[in-house]
Amino acid sequence: MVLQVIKWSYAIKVLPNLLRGTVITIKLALLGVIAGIIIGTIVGLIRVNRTKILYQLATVYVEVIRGTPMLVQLVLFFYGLPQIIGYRMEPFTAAFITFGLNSGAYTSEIVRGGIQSIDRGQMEAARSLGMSYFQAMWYIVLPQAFRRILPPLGNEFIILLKDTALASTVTLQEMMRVGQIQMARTGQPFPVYVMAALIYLVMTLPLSQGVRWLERRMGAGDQGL
Amino acid sequence: MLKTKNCLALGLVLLLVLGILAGCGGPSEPVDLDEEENGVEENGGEELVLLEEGVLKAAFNADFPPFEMRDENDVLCGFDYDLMNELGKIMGYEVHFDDVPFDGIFAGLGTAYDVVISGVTINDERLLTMDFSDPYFDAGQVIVVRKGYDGIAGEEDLPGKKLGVQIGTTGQDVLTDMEEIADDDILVYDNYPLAFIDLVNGGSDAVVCDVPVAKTEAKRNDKVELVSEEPFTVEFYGIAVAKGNSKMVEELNAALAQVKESGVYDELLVKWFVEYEGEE
Repeated sequence: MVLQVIKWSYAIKVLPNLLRGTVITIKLALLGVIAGIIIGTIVGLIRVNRTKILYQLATVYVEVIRGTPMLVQLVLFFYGLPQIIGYRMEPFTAAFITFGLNSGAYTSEIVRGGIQSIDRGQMEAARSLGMSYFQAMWYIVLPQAFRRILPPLGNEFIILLKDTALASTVTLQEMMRVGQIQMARTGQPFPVYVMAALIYLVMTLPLSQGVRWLERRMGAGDQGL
Repeated sequence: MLKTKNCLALGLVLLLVLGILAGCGGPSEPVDLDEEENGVEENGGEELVLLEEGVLKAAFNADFPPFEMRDENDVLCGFDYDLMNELGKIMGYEVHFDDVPFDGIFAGLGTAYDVVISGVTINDERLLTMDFSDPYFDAGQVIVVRKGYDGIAGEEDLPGKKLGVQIGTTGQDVLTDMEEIADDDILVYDNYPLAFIDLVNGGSDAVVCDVPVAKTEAKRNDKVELVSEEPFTVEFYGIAVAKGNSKMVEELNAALAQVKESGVYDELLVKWFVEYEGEE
């Protein structure tokens, strides 16, 4: 076996290119998360409320999206769909829709779990004070649920950020694809991917710190309870 | 919360682990440590040293018809496949094939397999990190467009158009090196079949690839056509071996010469570029 010489200088050389890819990675993750929160909250509330048809639709959505690999969905949207409907999405659009739908499915389960973890008595007490269902949900249940949702939500963001690497398959030049291109050109996978891994880590570490900070802030009122 | 000191310690541990991994070198596949002594004196050695005795391990990316692909029964086949088997016969080794993604294929050269025969174009950049056999195929770049599309008449029309290539190919290198072409206009796909699908879907205006790939696609896909069958670059395929493995290059070249002389090479050309029509 011939040991290959690792040329660490490549790690520095590819950095500017990787950082350009990072911009797209962040954009995609951020938009995906925002879409995920919006979809997730709505779907989560529907699943708690159990209005018949809506509940069934929401369940199908969650199960189908959660039960199939994101890569399959992405390739299906981008390469497969145009042959059926004759309309081709831009790579970023296809990736955004896939990530938003996925993030939404997972977030909805987090939201549902959070809401259902709040004692029924809270809702009942609020309703007995004359609040409507939505008032009680918005002012009483959701704020309490939010605190419990935070840790798994933070987890979900981090997973989504890393999953953006899948978008490389639809020609989007996010960090992973930039890394692959640089690796193919230099023949040095090690320094290139170590650099990419470090950049992912630099992005995810502050994210978990931020979530923890939020948790502590929101937990401040707990002392008196 | 992690203290700054803890973060530092974590970083150091991480670097250490990576450092240990770096020592192992082979990134794609685990390599038996026993084999380590085999290759050490490879350069000066009189005999050809293989990763596994009596077996010539070859890698390609079976998404590159008609050079390497899988037939309807999922069995590996293609021009490179046949050629490598012929060469192995002459050299006296059994040939084993690995199907590896093209973008990482050279990383395993000399550690996971002995040679890469995957329609690899010989160029200066690659010669820095690997050695090549004599050229065994003449393949320049051509432009493929949707049938009836008249926006591109030659390579001078490429700037400003959306252009598809497979990652890691010379097609990508050629476009990247053309100053007038913006990086954002080069769409990089995992493989050419995907690039052609997106061309038909309207995602790109043209796909730039090697002549044989283009001809094979045009044969089996009536929605695309070549702008011209004359390549606009000069390129040759060679068999890539680990840098410094001159004994391997020597044996491959001798075998190649014999294959060409005996007429077997021409038979393969006819089999894959005249008779082979591609899958329906």
